[in-house]
Amino acid sequence: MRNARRGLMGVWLVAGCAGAGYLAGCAGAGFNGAGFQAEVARGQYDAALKSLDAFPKNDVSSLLDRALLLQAQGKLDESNRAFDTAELRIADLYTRSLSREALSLITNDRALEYRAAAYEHVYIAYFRSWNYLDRNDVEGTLVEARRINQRLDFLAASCPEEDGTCGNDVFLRYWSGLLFEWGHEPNDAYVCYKKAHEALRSEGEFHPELAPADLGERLVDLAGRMGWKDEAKFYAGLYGLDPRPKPASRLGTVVWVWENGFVGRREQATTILPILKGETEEIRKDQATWSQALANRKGMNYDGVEVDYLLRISLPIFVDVPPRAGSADFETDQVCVHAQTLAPLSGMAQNALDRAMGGIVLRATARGLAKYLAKKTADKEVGKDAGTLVNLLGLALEQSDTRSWRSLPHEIGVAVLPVEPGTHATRIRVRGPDGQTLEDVTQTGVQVPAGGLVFLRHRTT
Amino acid sequence: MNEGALRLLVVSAIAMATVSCSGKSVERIDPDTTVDLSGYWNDTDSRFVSDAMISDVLSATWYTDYAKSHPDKPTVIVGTIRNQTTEHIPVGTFVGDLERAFVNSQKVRVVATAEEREEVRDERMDQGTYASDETIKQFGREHGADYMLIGNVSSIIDEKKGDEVRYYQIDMTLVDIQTNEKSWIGQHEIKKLVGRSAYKS
Repeated sequence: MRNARRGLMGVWLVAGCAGAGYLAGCAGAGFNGAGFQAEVARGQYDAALKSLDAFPKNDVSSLLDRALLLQAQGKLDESNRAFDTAELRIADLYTRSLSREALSLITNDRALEYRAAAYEHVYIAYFRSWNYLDRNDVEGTLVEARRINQRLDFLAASCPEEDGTCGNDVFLRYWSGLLFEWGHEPNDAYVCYKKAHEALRSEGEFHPELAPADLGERLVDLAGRMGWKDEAKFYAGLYGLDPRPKPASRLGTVVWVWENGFVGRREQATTILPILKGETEEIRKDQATWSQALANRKGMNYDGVEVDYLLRISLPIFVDVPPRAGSADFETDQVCVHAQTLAPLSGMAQNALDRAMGGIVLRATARGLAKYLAKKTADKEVGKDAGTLVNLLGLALEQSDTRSWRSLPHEIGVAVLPVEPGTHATRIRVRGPDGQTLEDVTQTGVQVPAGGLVFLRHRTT
Repeated sequence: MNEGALRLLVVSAIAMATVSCSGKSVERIDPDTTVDLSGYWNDTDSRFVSDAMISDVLSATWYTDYAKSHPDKPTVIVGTIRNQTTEHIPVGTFVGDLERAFVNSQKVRVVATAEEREEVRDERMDQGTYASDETIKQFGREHGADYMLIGNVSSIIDEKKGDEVRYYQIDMTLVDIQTNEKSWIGQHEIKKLVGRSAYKS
């Protein structure tokens, strides 16, 4: 009877682990984040797209990468379709799947579907706006401008419940303001600029040094044009500008957006949590409390302590990818402007992982503990060989979730150049951290209408 | 976690995950069937609003006034419908639905939109070179529209914890092309509640 029970138990454990391993192994197995970024940097988009096949078709992280690569290839319709699918998927994933949550508890976090970090969700609209700007599609572009504000407003309203930036994204508010101004919607533009200004005061103090270089001028100019003298005076005072209304300028504006480098990526690392002598039976009685207690032992020095078992858990770590370029200058008609970094995307990615880390460590610990207890049970009920097998399968299953939107730039900078109406050329000089020239290119044929805005984009990889 | 719980967890997770990975299925359905998947603007909204709007516009006083003073039906053109929502609404489909509702009412004549007219004029030009004298179509004999229907679609989205209220407001104006007079102004609203539960099996 006991032998039959032991045999059945062994079959259960092996079948369970193997089945779970099979199901959990599909989300990005074999994908190399560093290799992917290197391919994108070299402009090998087809190879990079091919490597994304390692993910299921509806995986949000790969859909976002796909959308950005297709955009880089000029396949704007396909890029929009990938963005659409990703956005619908993100909305659907609000509802958590209990089966996947359960599966992740015995396998790893890759069994959960990737839901996109809050900052990634909001920045979809920024990147997507280029698909419409490039076609001069005003309505499509303004849809994205509205989406930026809708998502930031939602984050602001749900803060601090969600892990978002509370809607305080100066760059996105400013960018949507520029888009509305370009689309001849001055009232909407003004509201966006005001929200960009408010985002600068998020901690209660005004930080003018973080403001886009022309934000104050745009606020004062639009307030003046719409006849709101008090507001024009208010913003002029804050930004040190003349509040008197200026005659409508013939000058056009070229807005150069510089996207630099690659966002930091998530990679797998192993952490060891010690289980001390005599703790095993206590852990069996109250696994939930012990998961929390053991999670707090991350980084603990266990020299001189009697250790029963070293619990290995896999966690994602943030690997920053410092961009090779340090600065960029944009020059048109003897006006030379240094790109001002407004969106530090890599910093946002790191913050998103830091905020999620508490939950990740707890889940990984609970999982490790369940596998440890299964090993102990197998040792006792079936035999040492079965325990070793369960342990090996458990270790093989333990993988951290390293998914994220990997093709994003490290940071986004903006250079705004006022120019006479007509056709212009812009010289772009990108420099390394030591001032050495990395790129020196000239874009010709930039047509600027009187009083109008023109958006151009340059990416350094 | 005891042995029984572990066993149950393994089996249920594998079973549920396997079920959720089942393959694609395709089913043909009646195009008039209302199917709401995401809560976004869809074909049903487009059809519903266009039918309601055209019914409204054709029962307004401008129509009876026109009929009293003119022997023929009025000629209308559907102009620009602006999308002011947070969605990429296919405005062309909506314009098509409005034209269909106008034509099917048999109360008005509908002429081609500006873009379509260009194509037709190119064809007429082409006929001037290649068509026989008997079948060639003349320039300057187009039917000019009496009224233009213009409008916009705007939206307000309110969301909290997975629940979303999507409100669409469609405003339309019929403008007398001769006088610029606004002969009719109509409005239609759609409100949808999109609920998302926190968990599913």
